[in-house]
Amino acid sequence: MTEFIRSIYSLVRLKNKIFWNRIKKTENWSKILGIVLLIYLFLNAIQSGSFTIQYVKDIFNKESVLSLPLFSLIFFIIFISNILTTFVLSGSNYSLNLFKTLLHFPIKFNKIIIYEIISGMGDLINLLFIPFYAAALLIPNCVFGWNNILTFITVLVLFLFSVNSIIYLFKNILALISFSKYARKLLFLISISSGIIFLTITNKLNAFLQNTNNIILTEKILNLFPSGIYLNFIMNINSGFLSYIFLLTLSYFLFINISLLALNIYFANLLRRKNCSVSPNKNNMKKSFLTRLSLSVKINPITKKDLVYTLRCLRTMLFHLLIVIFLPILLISYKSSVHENSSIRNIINQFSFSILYTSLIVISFAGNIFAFDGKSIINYFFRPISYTDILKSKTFISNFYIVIILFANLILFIILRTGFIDIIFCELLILLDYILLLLAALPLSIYFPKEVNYWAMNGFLTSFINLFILIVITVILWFISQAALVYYIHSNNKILLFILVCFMIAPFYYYKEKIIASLSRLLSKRKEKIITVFR
Amino acid sequence: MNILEIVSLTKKYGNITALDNFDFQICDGIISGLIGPNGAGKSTTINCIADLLEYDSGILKIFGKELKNDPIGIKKKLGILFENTDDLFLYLKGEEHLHFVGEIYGLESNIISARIDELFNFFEIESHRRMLIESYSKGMKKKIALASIILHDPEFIILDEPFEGLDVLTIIKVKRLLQQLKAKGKTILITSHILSYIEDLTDKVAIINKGKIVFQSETKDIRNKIKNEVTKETYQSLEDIFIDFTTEEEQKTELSWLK
Repeated sequence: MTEFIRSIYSLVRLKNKIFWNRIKKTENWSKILGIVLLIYLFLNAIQSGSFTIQYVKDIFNKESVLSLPLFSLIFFIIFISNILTTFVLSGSNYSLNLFKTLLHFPIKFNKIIIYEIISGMGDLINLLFIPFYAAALLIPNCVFGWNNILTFITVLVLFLFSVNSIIYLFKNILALISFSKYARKLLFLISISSGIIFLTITNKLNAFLQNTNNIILTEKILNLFPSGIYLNFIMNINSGFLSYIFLLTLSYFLFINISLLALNIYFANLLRRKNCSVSPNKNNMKKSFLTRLSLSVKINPITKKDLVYTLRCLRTMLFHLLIVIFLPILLISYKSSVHENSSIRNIINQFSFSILYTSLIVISFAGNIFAFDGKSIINYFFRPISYTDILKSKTFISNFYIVIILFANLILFIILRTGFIDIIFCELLILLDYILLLLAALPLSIYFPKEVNYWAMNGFLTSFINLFILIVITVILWFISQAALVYYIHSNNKILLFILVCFMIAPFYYYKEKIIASLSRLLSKRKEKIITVFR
Repeated sequence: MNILEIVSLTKKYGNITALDNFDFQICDGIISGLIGPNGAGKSTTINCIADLLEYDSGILKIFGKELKNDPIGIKKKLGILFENTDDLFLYLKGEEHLHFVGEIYGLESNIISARIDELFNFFEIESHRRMLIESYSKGMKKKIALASIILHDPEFIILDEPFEGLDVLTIIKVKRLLQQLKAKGKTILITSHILSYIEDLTDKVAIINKGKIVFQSETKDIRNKIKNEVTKETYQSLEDIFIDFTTEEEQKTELSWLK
């Protein structure tokens, strides 16, 4: 046991050293700005979390039967957002290289899995969600003592471990699916069925939540998930039964974490043994229609390469994914407020919800900051090489892309006359935040010396034409999807349901090769490595 | 006694056979060379020995034990230098990297520190001790990789392209180090494309092509090997043997468009 703890400790220390070495490597100004940016993101998360809790508390008094179920619902959404965001955005090539290097040493495979889950807890995208979880302490008007703090920290750590175990399990399962020869068909089936299920649920959700009993029933179901158990513990943190509740919570998390760990070890071992020859590789991916089209266009070869690269970009899919998840929730919320003679209370309620959801979106976008393959946070904003290259920088494009999306969203809300003053206000704030960051970043990026690496020169710089194409495509897609969703929620049209499902799965289908390749690379770099070795 | 014993090892990647009933043995306390053209199966063999690859069939015994039965125990007594130096922990300082390696092999902290001092001195990279490996040149990365595989005093050392990227002085140093290690009873397996080094250093040499051993001999005997039965002509060098056993006759030797 001592040896086991010692090696896990060594591995965790390794990750810690790597993290600090990378931070130290950046310039002092960059470090300061990076810290400011992180504090900003954390404060944003704390503020949105506590805002929501405060408003729900104001609307429903403590005795109200709906108060706790609502918190439970919010918590579950945050929990799912955390899993989804970390799943999509974390796991850079560098961490996969680290995994690969670890396999060279006499370390048991199981230990590496445990270490991976533990180190996943320290993933910056994950850390951004902690303020949301911590804000739950505001619900029960907590009185802090040593006992409360210690038990809270223990439960929070166990809860985070379970979140990461679930993410890791998804990665394992999807990596296994991606290795199967039916991967493409399965992915297609999963996207169609999830599209139909999602849209059906979206339509029924409003009526379902009108009934108080249904909300209470939902809470009971959600209470079986780690988020529900965690919230339940928080609600009882001041009660006289703390030790009893703590023991129950502890047993639940120990049970669920051990079960998930066993499953993860099983699946990871299964993956390790699988024949790697079927592993999809970037190099033998089929070309999509748009890629083929762009290859046939007569433009200079460098721009053509950039264009193909942009069209393959998986990150674009995340935006589609976020529309699919968050927008209907906002629209349902709007729809219900219209039917119930919208009162001030409703508007406040929506305001808090919209802040919460948009914050989650921002955090998901903010994940981009950490997505540059092991580059430090600040490189995201400060990488452009000179002012002439700014317009070509992918960093700039990503930022601009977000600004345009938020701007398009804002205009659409006005066009559709949703009356969403609070949401517009919220969107505007985020938009201004981004513009402010961009304005601050651009002059500074010219002034400060930057690291120009291989990736910055090869492929990551992209031409202005790509920016234009992406913006046009995105704005059109957003316009169609939002208009169609509003219409669908109001009319319940079956044909529209079909069209929407097709529309929703289009990005999944378009990026299917890339998704499969990414999924298989998520966990099983060792398989890719084997192929590389052989080549 | 055989330190390494490979019998009928087969490894396939889909339809491609990387190792085809591969047989190979290495005796205790000698330096062996494994050479072959690109894609012949050298790295696949090393990856199977390092337990990074699972083979399809056959027997792989190291120190007389089946690798599958005790991979961790066997790995603790191995030191493997991989061809790709980017597999190091690039964002650790040289010193930190060696410390971590020492810890993983269960060495005491004071022993690790003393050995690290000696290694940095030996490879003449003292000035880079506290710099991130990412900033090292290829040769320096190779030196750190070499240092980290001998830190725990392994019994069996496997070196995949050990001289690649090293300057002449370091090559001489590494060659001497290998001779010293042999003198101390260590067993060494080297793969390299530089045949003259293999000829200089090794006691036994094997040529692998298309996943099979096509030639095997004591290095000292290679110049006595008969090349042509009729003329009784012998091989002049290892290069001569290598070309004979790995090149197909109909292979093109000239490019049509070059004037």
